[in-house]
Amino acid sequence: MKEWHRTIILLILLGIAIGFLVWSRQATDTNFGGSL
Amino acid sequence: MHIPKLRLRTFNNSLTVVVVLLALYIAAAPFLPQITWWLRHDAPVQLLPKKRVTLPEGTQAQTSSHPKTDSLLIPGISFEELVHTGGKRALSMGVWRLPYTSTPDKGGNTVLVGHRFTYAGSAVFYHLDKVKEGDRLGLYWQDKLYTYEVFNIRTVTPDEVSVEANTTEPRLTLYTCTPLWSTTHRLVIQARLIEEGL
Repeated sequence: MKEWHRTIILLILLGIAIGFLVWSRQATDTNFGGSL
Repeated sequence: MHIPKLRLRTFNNSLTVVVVLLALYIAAAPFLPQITWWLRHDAPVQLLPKKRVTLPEGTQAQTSSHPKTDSLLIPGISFEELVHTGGKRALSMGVWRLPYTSTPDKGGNTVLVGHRFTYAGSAVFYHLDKVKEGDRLGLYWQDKLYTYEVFNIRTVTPDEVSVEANTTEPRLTLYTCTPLWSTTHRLVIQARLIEEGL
């Protein structure tokens, strides 16, 4: 595998991880609104 | 643009470390409160009346041990946390009193909520499912201890707003998400006032 292939895969994984954390934060926020 | 192969390899190695650490955090964080529970759930938390300490003249009197003002205590699960007020952002800080519900000094239904688990902020009610009927809850509010006894524990859907309704009798209601790591239902704990002390 070429080195830049590895870079792309790692950046995709980083994006997935950060996306998951952002999604998780929004999920808990919207489900704990003014109503139960 | 040409990037030297060695520099790209160094960048990739650093990126690998970041990705692995992030993955470990995502995988381990949901279980960290449980590990903390195993390590310290025997730590004593008691519903003690505040003891005044006499300080030299000119200094302000302070409380000796218990607790920080406006805090919720659940001795059964070694729980002691500040109660935050204000807007919804206070929820990420820990236990939040819903601003449109009552306060202990006014009677009625005081409703406190908290996250069961979240990657963003404090997951204070992670162990709320361990509270049982008959357990005592303490709420220090404006320098006064209110002691409640749990009389009802149930699971409801998120649109069941009746648990937030005001009541004629003084009551404390706690709720959080359930099951763990899910937001589909709410675990509701209701307690009635049994003692109001200094």
